[in-house]
Parts: sequence; C-alpha cells; structure tokens
Amino acid sequence: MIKTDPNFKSHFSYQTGVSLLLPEDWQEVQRPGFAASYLSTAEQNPSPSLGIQVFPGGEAGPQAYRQVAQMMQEMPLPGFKRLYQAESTLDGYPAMIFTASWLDKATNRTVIQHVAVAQVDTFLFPIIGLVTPEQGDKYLSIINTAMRSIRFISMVDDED
Amino acid sequence: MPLPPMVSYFHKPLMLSLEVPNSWARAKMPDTVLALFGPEVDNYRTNLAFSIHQIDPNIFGSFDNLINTSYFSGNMERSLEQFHLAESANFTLDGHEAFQALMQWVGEEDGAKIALTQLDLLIKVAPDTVYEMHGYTLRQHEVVNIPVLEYMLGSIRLIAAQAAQVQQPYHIEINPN
Repeated sequence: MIKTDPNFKSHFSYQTGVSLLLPEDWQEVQRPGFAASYLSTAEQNPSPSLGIQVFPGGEAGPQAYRQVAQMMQEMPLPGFKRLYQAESTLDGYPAMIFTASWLDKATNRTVIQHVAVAQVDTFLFPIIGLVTPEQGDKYLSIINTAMRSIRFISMVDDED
Repeated sequence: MPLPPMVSYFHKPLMLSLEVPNSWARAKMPDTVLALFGPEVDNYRTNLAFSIHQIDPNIFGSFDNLINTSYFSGNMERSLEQFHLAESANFTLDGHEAFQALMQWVGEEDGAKIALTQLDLLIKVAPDTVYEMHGYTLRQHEVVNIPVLEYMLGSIRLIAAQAAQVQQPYHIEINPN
C-alpha cells in the first residue's frame, strides 16, 4: 500500500523554488531576511521556525556552501557554541549541516539553530531552523525532517 | 528489499513533483501526459503513466462515482483476463483526496500471455480534475517493483500553480543571525 503521513503537508515557495514537508500546524509567514519562512502555530513564545534564504554564489565555486556555513559560525554571537556539524546532501545537492546554540540578547534566552547550507549550481540556500532548548526534543526533529524533505524545483519546462 | 537510488523530478504541465529511481527514463506515450519507464527486465519495462480525468464539480460525489465506475462496477473483470482486485483504499495524499488500488490480471503482448500487477492512484487535485496514475510490472517481479511504485506515488507533491498568500507573522521573539 502507498504510505503517506496525513499530518504532513508540502509547502512550495516561488521565491526560493524550494518544496518541503511540514506538519499541518505550520504556516508560511513573511519575515525580514528570509525569502520564505515557516512557523509552528502549535507553540508560541517563541514559535519554532524555519527560514530559507537564497542568493547567487557568483564565482565562489563549488565549495561556496562550506565557506558560507563557516562564516555563519564565525559571526560574533554571544555564547556561540557549535554542537554538531556534518557534510551532507539535500535533494542530491551538496550541503553543510550544523547545529549551534547562542544567547539571544534581546530576550536573554538561549537559542538553538539547526542550519543547512545547500548549493544548487551557483545558488546558495542557507536554511535556518530556530528553537529554544525546551522545544529542542520535539522540534529539532521536525526541522531536520523538513530539511531532509527539501526538493529544489526549477520552473523551467524541459518537456521538449 | 532496499529501494534503488532516487532523484526528485518535477513535471511542469502537471505541476507535480515526485521521486523516481535514477535508472528510469521519461518516454512519450499516446493518451498520457507523462510516462516513466524502468530498465528492461525479462523483455518488459516497469512503467508509470499519468493522465488527467475531468469530473463534474457540480455533481456531489463525482470522485467517488469515478472510483466506483472504474474499480467496483465489474468493468475490469469483464475487460481483463483473470482480473483480481487485491486491495484498495481511500486516503489522503499531500492534503488531497486519493484512492489506490492494487490489481492483478493477464495481458497479451505480441501473442504471448503476460501476468501483470497494476498499481493505480487517483488524486483529486481540484473540484473538477483528477490525476490518474497507472503503474505496471510483471507479476513475477511484483515483490521488488510494487514497493518502488508505492514509494514513487507516495512521494508525490502537488505544487500550487500560483504563489500562496503569505501570512504576516503573529509572533516573533527570536531573531536569526
């Protein structure tokens, strides 16, 4: 039998060309700094989120995703601690995945971010999930599943 | 039995994305919008054909009527040799009403009888539109190939033809880098 999870639904963003699966309660929202952004509506203060950026890598070469992941980890964030890092693929494209924690000065709360930086030809896609430590057990798994479900979709018609 | 390596494939005319074994290829076939074929084994290529069926949105139960007429009216038994409906189910696929059916029957190709297993999927993608997918494999290879077809069909995502209206965030406390 064909098996599907009725609790998950696909979202597609024309701004990023990214399709991904998220639980039913997540919705797309507008957020500064992201071409596409999704929030869980089941939990608030704060809501676990997943945001996608996209920008051209230009002449940076096929390893640019590694450099971007490294730069993101070198930003001067208070209490920054890398918890995990691995080379991987998303939808067959190379990606660097890392998890880190830092202190959000505005709220004085620790934030955990789970990040994938994928490279599709010359385009770079930093994909950033944010949760609090208390939400981590449940939502890091959801964010990681969403990242692993990503498909990069080109609207170019190759029919003929 | 592990699945073969898959790649994602987007078909713009159907606005549909799915995962396909990397050894499969697309082909043109009459009366189909999309046809995908696996490698040849025992002179047969496992295949998956996509077509579009229009239903009347003004008639209540049009989708159920299509299912009943296609699978439960006796038409299949009358038109296909040794037809057997092994299992069927209504379910939800990517937020859409769907129906699946697994069947066995005996066909004929170049005068020779071939025992086939068929996996069908119907998805109601709009009030007036149903996508029909028909997957076929030799029955002698169904143990290997039906899970592949099930995986491919279960991976289907329907891409909206227009960008969705995006909500304003109702609550943001933490900021990214």
